[in-house]
Amino acid sequence: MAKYILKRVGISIVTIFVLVSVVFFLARLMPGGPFNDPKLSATARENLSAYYGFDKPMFEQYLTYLGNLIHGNFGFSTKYPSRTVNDLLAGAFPYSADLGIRALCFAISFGLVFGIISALNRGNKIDLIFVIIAVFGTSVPDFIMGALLQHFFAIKWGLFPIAQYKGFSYTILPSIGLGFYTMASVSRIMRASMLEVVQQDYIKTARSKGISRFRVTWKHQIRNAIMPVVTILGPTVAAVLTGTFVIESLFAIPGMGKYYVESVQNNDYSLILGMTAFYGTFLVFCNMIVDILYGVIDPRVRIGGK
Amino acid sequence: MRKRKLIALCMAAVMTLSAAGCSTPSTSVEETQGAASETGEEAGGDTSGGTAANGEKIFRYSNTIDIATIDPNKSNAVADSTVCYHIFDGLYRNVQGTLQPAVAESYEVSDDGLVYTFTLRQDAKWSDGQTVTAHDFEYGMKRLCDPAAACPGSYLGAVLKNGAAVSAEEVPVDELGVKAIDDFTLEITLENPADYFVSMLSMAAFMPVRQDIVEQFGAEFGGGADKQVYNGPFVVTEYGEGKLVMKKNENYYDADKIKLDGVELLTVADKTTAVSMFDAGELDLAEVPSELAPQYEGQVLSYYSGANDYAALNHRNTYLANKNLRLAMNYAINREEYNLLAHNGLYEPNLRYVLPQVRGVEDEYGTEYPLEAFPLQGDMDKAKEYLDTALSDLGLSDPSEITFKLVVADTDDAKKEAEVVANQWQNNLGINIEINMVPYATKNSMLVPGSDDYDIIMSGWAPDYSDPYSYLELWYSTSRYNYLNYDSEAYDQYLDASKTTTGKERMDNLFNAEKTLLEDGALVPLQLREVQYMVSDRVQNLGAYFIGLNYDYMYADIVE
Repeated sequence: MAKYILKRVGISIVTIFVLVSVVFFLARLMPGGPFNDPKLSATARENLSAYYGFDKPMFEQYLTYLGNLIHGNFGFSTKYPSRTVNDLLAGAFPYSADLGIRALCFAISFGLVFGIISALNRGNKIDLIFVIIAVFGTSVPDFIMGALLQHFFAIKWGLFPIAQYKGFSYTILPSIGLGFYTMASVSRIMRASMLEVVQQDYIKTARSKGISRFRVTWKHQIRNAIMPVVTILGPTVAAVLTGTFVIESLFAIPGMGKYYVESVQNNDYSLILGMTAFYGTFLVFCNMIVDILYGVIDPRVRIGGK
Repeated sequence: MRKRKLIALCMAAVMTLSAAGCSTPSTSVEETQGAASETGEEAGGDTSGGTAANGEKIFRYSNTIDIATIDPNKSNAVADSTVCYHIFDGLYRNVQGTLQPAVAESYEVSDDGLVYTFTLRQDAKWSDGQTVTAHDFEYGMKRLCDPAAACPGSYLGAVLKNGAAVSAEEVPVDELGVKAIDDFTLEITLENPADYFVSMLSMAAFMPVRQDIVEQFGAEFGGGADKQVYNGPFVVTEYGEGKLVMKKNENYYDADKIKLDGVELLTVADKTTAVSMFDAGELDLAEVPSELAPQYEGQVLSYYSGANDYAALNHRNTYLANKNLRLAMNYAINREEYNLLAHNGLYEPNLRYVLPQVRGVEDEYGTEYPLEAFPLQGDMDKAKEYLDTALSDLGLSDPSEITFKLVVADTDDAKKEAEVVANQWQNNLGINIEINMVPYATKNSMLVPGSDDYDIIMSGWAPDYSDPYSYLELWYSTSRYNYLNYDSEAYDQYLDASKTTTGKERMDNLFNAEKTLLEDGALVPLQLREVQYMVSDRVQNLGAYFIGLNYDYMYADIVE
């Protein structure tokens, strides 16, 4: 097991290194620079470039950047000249993470329950209702979902606050808006997986042994059916916890989502790289956890391990 | 048995997470919002109106993006300078076009209009109790131009003697035309006489800056509420993710005239959300996106943002070098129809070049020097005439032989503008237009003299001071902005003459320059941008302006 984990960690570090390197050069290939206000004089641009070290040879900048990265230092943003990228991320991540955890809780608990109930009622009306919810959830994009929730529950009926993030009632609409898609996918995957498992021989064996229907469902069917859901959770956790542009902007939540768009629009090199490194590391870390969890849940996955 | 425990454990974990997630916000979120309760906005509680539960008068408005910095030298966006206008106090204050003394009590100008001597008041204090001195102004302006500080607004410092040379590292910072004679006397020397200089002094770039605080925080100066000191009507108590909170500065020498207890500036990226929050009484001011404006007719106010938009013609193009063709393109535009199609009729069609609201000699420039260079609905007969002359000049038989590449930023507004203009030219003149959309940043980087990357580029300008020269200086033949590649001896001469004259004579020169530009059809003026916004009835004395800030709430009051 230790060897397996060590291998996963090694692969993860290499992945992050490659990712950061590629993005470093890609960002600098984008047309225009970070200082593109047409009012800036050429000297002001040169002074700014020198201030941020962008006037040095590309490879030297790259080495400096890697050196800083090892110390966890992302440098100063060009859009927010008085703030470091670390400071920006440290301020915004708690909001995104808080929202993301709420959305995940909503998505996983409701998704699993819906999927299980749906599968157990295969073909009847209850199943149909849940399938419709799932199709709706996976096909309606979050900006429409968020806007609908906001329009009806906040603006029209006044049940929840319209925007901002400063108390429990503020968190409900954005959490549902953000988690709805995941909820629907979890429910679909769980349903399909449940239906596949139910045809396995070991279910028949269990039934023929006279075990109660409840115990078969709980102990054999759900336990085996949940694996595919765990698979999608890795990337989903990373994506949901590190901020989403649409929901955060719609509900005026000061999370990280805006930086994905803003940093690229402004050619804010430090922020682009900071976001990439942060998100990349988080994603790789989540995937690694899922891989390790796999090994824990299902020993067959532990290749070469004992 | 073990397996069952595992499942139970997993389920329990999920449920605990759910429960935890659904009870309270994470501590970190609460921590960063700790000061929120100070403004009376309890979590989950609704506040009605600008007056919070404890009777404080809080003015609440929003921006679509976070404030980039509260370092006045480095603030470059209008939203940031607006904050600086309210938290710092410069030498003079430009209150929506009216000058009023601020830290300076008075000033004298030398006969040649170059040397300004300001006498400072002695009771102006920083928020940490220190006295505001002439040295703080000297340091601020030197830092603005210092190449090592790399301030984006250093171009504004070019008005000072040696300003441009200091930025370019040609002369040392000490030779900048600003000097503290003693603690309360400041002498500023200009590069050229500039009647409008004093009106620029309430811009963020010219605010006093405390050297000891800059040295204490280094590059992070102005990166947080506690990484700055203030000498204006308000101080910042909270500056971070999603909001900036200001509180009345009780040490401000003119505090009696400040009615607000505080200001809360939220970041609300989605303008529709901001309008909904305004409707629900959560904001006192909201900008109205053009698609929502018809719904709020009667409630919506507007102000000129100062930006004029035009289709810039590149005179390096062989066809566009022809004046008759340029005039044909100007007469072929129906600006009334254009404004309806591109902006729901919400902007002001521009029939000249300079914003008429800038200051003239005594009154607004547009009142003193009215001009309608092109008819509102265009003039298709004249357009045809000029087109025919142009075709024979150029030796062409058919307008369809002409194809122009029109570059435009890929924003929704700009796309619509380009489509309408291209359509009018194609229909009314028969020339071909190829629209080329590029990212906003890329478009901006193309706006340099001598470029052949575009034939026509959709562009605009916002003034740095309330004077026609702010718009006209762009097209001086050797100007670093001259991306029209316009080269007119007459135009240059008028602008040169404006630098050595004053008062009405100077303004006449500027007006002649504007007329020359338009008679040459050097560019195709399209619109004056207006911002539509709504203000709560409870708010009084709120102003809007087009230079150095957008909203002026310094003297605003909230009345229930």
